[in-house]
Amino acid sequence: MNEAALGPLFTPPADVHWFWIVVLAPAIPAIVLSVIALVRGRFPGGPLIGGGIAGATWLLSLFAYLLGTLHLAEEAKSVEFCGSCHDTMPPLVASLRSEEESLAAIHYQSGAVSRVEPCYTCHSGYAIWGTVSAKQAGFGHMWRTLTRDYEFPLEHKGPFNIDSCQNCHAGTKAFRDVEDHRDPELAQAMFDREIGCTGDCHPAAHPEAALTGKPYVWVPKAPEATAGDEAANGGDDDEDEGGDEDEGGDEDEGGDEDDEEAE
Amino acid sequence: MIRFSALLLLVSHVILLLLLYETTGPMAILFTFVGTPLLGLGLLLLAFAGFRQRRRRAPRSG
Repeated sequence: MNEAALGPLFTPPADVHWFWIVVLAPAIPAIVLSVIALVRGRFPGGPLIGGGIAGATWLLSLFAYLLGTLHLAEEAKSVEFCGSCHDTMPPLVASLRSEEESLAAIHYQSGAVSRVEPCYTCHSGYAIWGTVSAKQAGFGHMWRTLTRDYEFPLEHKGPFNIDSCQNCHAGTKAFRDVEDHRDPELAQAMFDREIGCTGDCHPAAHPEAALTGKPYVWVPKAPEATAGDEAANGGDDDEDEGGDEDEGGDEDEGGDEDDEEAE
Repeated sequence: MIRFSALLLLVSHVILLLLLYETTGPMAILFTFVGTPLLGLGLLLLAFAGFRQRRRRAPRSG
């Protein structure tokens, strides 16, 4: 849907990021001095001043790159940045914006997570160390992209960090009202990182079709076929779906919870 | 050596400018895995050239 066509209220404010000017401030003098050194074979000025200018070029270059790294760290939070990696990410971003009722799409479209940085909101941990570990993981992703060291379908390494979910859900009434959430053993297993929220009790956050690396196309579920299957031979369907059949009921409940909270 | 280090610094800064112009995944990869090592090497060579020049000048002044 073209949201801009609905009116100005539906157009998100432009993300004017001025930090690049701060990066340019040391970068431009460093570039000019480097060009002079490249052409003349030495830095301008005599031995003493030239040495000082060479030192300044050294510091300015280093400073520009440090600021550039900060700029990258900040800009890398945006969904556009995540979606710019070939093959892997565009289908996931497309699924967020589709009519698909995946957990991620529900959170994104209901505004439960930032529309500017939805990937970062859920995939970075809590507080400053969460940001640090997200950046570490980001470097790992860049290296894997560079070396093409990844396989489809994409899988999350280990259980999903419950802190990302807890950050928003823990204090809500809907979360408290679910009996399973008050089970001490389950809670301990979650704190021990043995299980996560998604993929265990709740459905996986992203649709399987978006993890295959192929362009994502949302296919609406045929309501009568689904209802008919469930009424007539629901047991057979469950068996076909694989190992998590017993949790199928829980998954449905999870979806309802999220709908409630989103409202 | 100064020319070569200046060239490395220049190339790394061009990559930095590209990143500022468009911050995308491929640009971030270029910046991190090409630009940063080039900058590091350029700075190292520049520092080395500076120290060498100083050492050459030292006996004359002393």
